[in-house]
Amino acid sequence: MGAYAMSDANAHPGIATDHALAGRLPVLLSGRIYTGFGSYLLTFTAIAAASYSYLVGTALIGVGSTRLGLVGYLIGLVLGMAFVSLAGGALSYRYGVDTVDAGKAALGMRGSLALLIGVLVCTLGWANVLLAMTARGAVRVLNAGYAGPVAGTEFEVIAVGLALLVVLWLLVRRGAGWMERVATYGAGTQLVVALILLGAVLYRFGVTKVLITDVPQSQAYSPDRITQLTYAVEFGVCNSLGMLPYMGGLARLVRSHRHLVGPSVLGYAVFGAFVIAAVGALATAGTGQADPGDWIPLVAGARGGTLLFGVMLIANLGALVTQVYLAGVSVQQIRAFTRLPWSVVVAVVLIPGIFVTFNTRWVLDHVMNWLAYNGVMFVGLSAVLFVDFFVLRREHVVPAQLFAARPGQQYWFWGGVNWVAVAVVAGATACYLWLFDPLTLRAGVWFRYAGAAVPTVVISSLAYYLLMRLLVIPRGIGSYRPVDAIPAPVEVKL
Amino acid sequence: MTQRGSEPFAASSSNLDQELAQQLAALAADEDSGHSATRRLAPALIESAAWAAMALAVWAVVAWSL
Repeated sequence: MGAYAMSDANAHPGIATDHALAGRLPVLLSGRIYTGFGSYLLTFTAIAAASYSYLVGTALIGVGSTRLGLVGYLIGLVLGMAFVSLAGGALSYRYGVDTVDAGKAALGMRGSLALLIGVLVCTLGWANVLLAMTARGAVRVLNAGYAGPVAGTEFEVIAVGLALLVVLWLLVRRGAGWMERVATYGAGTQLVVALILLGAVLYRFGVTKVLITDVPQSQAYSPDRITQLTYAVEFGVCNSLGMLPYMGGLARLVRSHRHLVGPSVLGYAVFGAFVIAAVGALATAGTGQADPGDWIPLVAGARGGTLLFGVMLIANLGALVTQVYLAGVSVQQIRAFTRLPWSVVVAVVLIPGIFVTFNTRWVLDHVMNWLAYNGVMFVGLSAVLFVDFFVLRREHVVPAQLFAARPGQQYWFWGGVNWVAVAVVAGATACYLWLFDPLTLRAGVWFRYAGAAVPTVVISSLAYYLLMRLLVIPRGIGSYRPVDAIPAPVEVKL
Repeated sequence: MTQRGSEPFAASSSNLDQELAQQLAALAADEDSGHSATRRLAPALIESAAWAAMALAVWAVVAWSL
């Protein structure tokens, strides 16, 4: 039993800091590892600047206009990150708690399970997609110049995939400090590779040619130019809102409020997702090839291309390490995991990767689309989290209550779930899918004017605010007024 | 920070609960002092609003030009 405010806060500070950084304990200001603008920016760059972002660039051309695709995507990325960096990160930054613990004030102690599922699905889903891409790409690099098939055999892919898992385990088990370092080097390397490739594309095909090369209008997602722009904005906004599950785990490691928004917007939206996607889009426009493994040798030559492709794959480790670290922290919401050594937690988190290495083709064919669909739930969740913390709670929660999982405590709501929040998230998901289906790309009548994510966020924010003011706060549920607070001490447990 | 990069050791759940209580006590003391650096979120809100406003303005201008 841990009674709140019962013991010396300064006892064994080093041990507590280590447990906090590798687990669910709140990270105090003194223990936070992101002390500068650059390192936090590069971690966000690392998450976005990975092989999959080149493929997004290829998809952007599909809107019908390469230029509108790039401009719209950048607008959407910035818009989404500006919102989600606070919706998902503010409470975590304020109290040093993980995404899932931060969500308990709005969703309830058990309702926050939805965030846990979201964190694990997103971090492990994207990590395993990247693992499959990296394993297949690495075999291609290793076989370049030999007489055998360039794609290699499945046995080689499996061997490389398993070796990657071992490397990941060795890196992530070293904790948050190593995560930050690997992400920094990974992001920097990806950006250098991307800029070299951009230079090669522009040199080989010319700026004008790649910018005016569009897919045939018959193959465009829409013949209408405004709708083409809106499609690209929507891809950007949704990409950024998909960062919601990542935000808390990183924001709780930030020391200064000056670094909460700018580095995430610049690092993820501009330097990471946009730059890499732009290179992918322009290269595809120039070469007609979608896969980086196919167009890189065409723009950088056989040897140079193989070298750059190999470096790019190694730099994927930045994104992989960050995602596995965040999954390892969040999985400790399950109490049994809090008792395990961090290295064992990391090993457990990597177990799905073993399945992936044996089925890389299947993962690449099926999981990416499914992940895009799954991200829809974060549109409503981000609206609920933002309104709850900034508007209804006026930026104040009782951190001990985030660890007080008993009926009658402040964030228990009804049976541990804030059903109003759940209803708003469900309604937001339905509203979004009515406006736009991300799998079939079917767009409703209103999509042309504002896309789907922006109106859904606005509508669900208003709905959540009104429903909470009418149904929940007057009943004294959820402790939205100081008078409703439950006096300390309370029982807190991991 | 101390011991950066070293692997946290396994701890019994009761030890962890005690550490949690210590961390929360430190957080509460920081809050009560009224000087917590993390209280200042208004500049972050303004920065976020500025980024969003800029993105919306560019969107409107580009759409208008089409």
